[in-house]
Amino acid sequence: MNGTIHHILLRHLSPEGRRWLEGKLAALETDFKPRSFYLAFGACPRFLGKDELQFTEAEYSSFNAIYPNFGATSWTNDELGRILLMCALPPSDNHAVLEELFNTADYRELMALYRGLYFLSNAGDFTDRAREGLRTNMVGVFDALALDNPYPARYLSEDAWNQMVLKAKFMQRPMYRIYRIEERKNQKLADIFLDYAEERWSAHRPVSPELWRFVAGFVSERSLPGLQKTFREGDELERVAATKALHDSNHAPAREWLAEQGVSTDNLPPWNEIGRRHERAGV
Amino acid sequence: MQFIDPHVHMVSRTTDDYEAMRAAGIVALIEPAFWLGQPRTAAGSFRDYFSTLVGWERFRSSQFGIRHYCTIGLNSKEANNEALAEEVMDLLPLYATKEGVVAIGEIGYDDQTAAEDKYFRQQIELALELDLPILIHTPHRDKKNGTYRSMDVLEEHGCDPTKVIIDHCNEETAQEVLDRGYWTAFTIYPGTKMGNERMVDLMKHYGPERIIVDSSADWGISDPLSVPKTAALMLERGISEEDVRKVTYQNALTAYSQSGQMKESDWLDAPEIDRSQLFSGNSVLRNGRRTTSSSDNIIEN
Repeated sequence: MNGTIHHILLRHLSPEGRRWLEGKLAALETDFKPRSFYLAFGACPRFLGKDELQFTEAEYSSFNAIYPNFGATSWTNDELGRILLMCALPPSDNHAVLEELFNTADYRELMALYRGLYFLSNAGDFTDRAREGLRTNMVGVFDALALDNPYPARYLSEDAWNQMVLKAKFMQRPMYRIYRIEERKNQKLADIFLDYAEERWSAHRPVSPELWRFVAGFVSERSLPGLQKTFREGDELERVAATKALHDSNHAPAREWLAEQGVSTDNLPPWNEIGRRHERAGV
Repeated sequence: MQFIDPHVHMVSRTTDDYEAMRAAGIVALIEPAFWLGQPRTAAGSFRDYFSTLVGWERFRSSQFGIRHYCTIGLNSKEANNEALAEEVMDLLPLYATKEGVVAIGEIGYDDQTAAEDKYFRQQIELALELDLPILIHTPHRDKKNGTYRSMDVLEEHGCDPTKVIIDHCNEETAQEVLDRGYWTAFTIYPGTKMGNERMVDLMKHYGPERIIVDSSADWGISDPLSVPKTAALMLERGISEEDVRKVTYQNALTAYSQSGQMKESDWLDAPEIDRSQLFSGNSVLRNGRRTTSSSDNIIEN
């Protein structure tokens, strides 16, 4: 059981919803049966509703303490109810019980399950499941895991992390919403993104300005021509992104080349802002 | 006009069909669990099929702006493999309460064997336990007896006929089904069951109350536009728009919304969160529509 969710969620439920959920939690505690867990999990929208929860600042701080970035997105009654039920499973059994549920879950259930993983006391046991979840083509399910969720940053290996970021790009998801996207940048990912940019140019297709974020910090002799090309030929946001990548670079030729271009590097927007502008442009 | 196709097997259809259906005005559809044209040999195949109905297909449909619902059940043909049927019966409670499951179905008889009868009855009991509507598949062979027998069994179990849809009715069975108080559904299936000309005549004869039109389009020769096409013909033959709306939209909505899993606002005012999840960020629609290249198709990811 997760004390924080339990304590805060109950305050926000109707008296009937509260009674129903308390009853289910008590039943799980006294006589745990997978079947009663599955039925309760499935029935949450019916008994708790799907309303978006409105938390106070104090409640957000409590949540953020146990789930970094909790306040970045909204949560609904049924979703947190489901997560509370997940947390009430005995950790010795929860892997098998939840695997069965993952394999039979509907769309909304999958979103709650993936958003809830981080709350589990043995969350690290679910990395294979998280990788499986990232293979989905259902946008909402992918987002539940990849965006604003602290699970991948903490638990995924570098290769799994890189696959997630790439897939977010291919699914045209707003990458700036991946939690700790900046801290987990790496050379391998920079190289893959550079290959991807070259592939796009060969196919005469646009290259997202957000992509240069992953090259920034890893600029080399190899990536310099692509950045120069983007600087010369890109639209306004692409030029800003290329400028920023060149400016932030430790590669001396890159910085020298940029200096020769005579553009201002004051007031370059943060990468998240570039991501947001790109998202708004709807490309 | 807006339409609901309350019986169509989308797992067998292409994205061209989805686009045509949306363009023709279909805003919602129901996909009953059925067989796949050949018998399954393992419970896992049923599990994955049910998961597809409540997951992937629901999502795929939403990408084309059509709300997807389904019914869950063990069909009568495959009920004859009793060892497998037992395992499938254990799966049903896991799926019957999922979001968008509007009935237990399609169930009933195929050959009218003892095994079919056994699992038909068990599933009626499940529907009663969960307070869900029931969708009845009436058999192609010995249709009249199969249809009457289905209703006898439903009544024996105390089912309320206003919560039961009897599908694949025809001129020979419709009167009895209507008289006994059930929702009476007609499949407009080119060549085999009902053509839309016949449906117009039936409408003229019976009127619009408790009548439902569907396509049952699947992996065989069938037409996912049966519902809007039949509506067009009805209007052309002088049936009022109000009556056409009942049989191609409202009656199905009234019957299946008794599940608590389907309401008009689902498509009239889809929540913002769904739109952002399903439409604006979606690469199938975007690149599929804007360019001729297929290299960003989401299926490749």
